[in-house]
Amino acid sequence: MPTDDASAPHTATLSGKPTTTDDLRAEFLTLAAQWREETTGYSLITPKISHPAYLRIIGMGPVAVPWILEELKERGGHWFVALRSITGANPVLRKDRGRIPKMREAWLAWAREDGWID
Amino acid sequence: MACLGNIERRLPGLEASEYQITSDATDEYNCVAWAVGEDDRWWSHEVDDEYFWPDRAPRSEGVESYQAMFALYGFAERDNGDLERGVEKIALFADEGRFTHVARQLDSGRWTSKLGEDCDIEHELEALRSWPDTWPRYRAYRYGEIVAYMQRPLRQDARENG
Repeated sequence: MPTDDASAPHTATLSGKPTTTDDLRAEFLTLAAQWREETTGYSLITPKISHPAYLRIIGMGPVAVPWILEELKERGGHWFVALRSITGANPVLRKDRGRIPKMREAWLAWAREDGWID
Repeated sequence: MACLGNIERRLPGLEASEYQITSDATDEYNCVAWAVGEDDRWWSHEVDDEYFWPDRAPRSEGVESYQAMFALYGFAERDNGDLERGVEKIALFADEGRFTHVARQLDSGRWTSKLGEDCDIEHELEALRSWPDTWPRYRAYRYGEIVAYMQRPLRQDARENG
């Protein structure tokens, strides 16, 4: 189950400063756009998941999960490692490894069942 | 058909060459899958339990590991990318010894590439080589140099060897 309600005021520490959920949401959107712009062309996964923006998003923790899921649903992208890193889950069946639509569906179904999204 | 971004900015060699965009952008497959003949699976040696990689293939970013993997699908080493009847060739790119990209030759002698999560293009092989100042903010799209060619008999179906 999620431990944070993304719709509620939230305090976290990034760059040493207290940050509200709205601030984090704005930062997430900026980082996600940067990550897409700078790694879309790469066929290897390592440059995507080691990109500074991706790592910062993982560092946001559970508050970012609904935003990641929204990105995954609306724009796709390789968010699977971030979701797995934050939640500890891996709902993708072995036979579906690399089948991106099935991986996306598995994560969204898991998120609905686990209460991350409606 | 459209790419997600400005591919000429990311691959400056394209600008002075002839190329065509041959698919919309999609994250459903990558250049490795495309080289083998698939368009519905993302191949990666890097993250087990997430992406597809043949069980018998080595898991390493080295070009030799990728050559060993492609050999499972019928490809053998070749010393050039010249067009030859009856065979299908691929060209492997590497940057500082690490595999970065693979392109597949078409019947016309031109090459086809899937650009990560972006579109497919038909292009001149040399156009994808890195320029010194390619995308300095981050190394995405830095494909490096052509380091190996491989070939297999034409029309051999890709078979999963995992």
